Amino acid sequence: MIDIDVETLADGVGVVRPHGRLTMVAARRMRELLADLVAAGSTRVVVDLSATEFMDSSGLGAIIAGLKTARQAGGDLRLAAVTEPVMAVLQLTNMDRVLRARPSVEEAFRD
Amino acid sequence: MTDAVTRSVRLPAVPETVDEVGALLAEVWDEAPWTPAGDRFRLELAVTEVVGNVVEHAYAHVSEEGSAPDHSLTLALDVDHERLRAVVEDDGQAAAVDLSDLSMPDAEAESGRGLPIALASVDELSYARTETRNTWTLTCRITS
Repeated sequence: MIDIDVETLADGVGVVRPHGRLTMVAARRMRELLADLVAAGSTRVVVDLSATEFMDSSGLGAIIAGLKTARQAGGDLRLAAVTEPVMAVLQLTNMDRVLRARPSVEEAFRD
Repeated sequence: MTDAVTRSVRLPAVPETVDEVGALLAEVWDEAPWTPAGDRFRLELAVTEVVGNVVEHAYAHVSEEGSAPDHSLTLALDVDHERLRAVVEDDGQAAAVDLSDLSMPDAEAESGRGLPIALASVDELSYARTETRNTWTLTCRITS
């Protein structure tokens, strides 16, 4: 099982950081962690992908579920520090237009 | 110089196998250092999606009936200087899919992107059903 770090920043933004491979194996836990963060009041969520070496459609599905949950709660979900293999999947699925990647966690909600 | 690298393994049809595939491919790339990184990635992504599809669907009918027999799949890799090829086979139910009529789901969808990703990622993806067996063949031509 891969590590997925979760933290809440001082401004209330929730950060989820999956390490290694975000595939079918980790997707369910990723989904739950994102839902739990939003339920606990962090409606602004950043998925920090700086340590994510590989992502498949299941991993992407978990992020999309988190995006919908966050938006329904009046917040948003943003991606930060996307690695090349993850970006390739975002582009293949046209999700790069919906989940616009920010360079870093700090910049994710600076707009 | 090595001309070709082949590998064939039988793996349980469980989610963890999706990550086993990554480790197995890494071993093959070590033995086939001439393969470009971009082509390695295209094949790995597509194989991950096809194996994920098999894990999720091929034995779903049996799982519902509550039995837990030997649900497995085989992955055969064959890499030479022209192309990277993977063949994924299982003895589960036929896949209800038409590869000639697959499109990427819209942005709201949380599933259904696996095979469209596989199809977009490799140069050739085919699916064949014989009496009891599903065979998925994936090919990436080496680009440079």
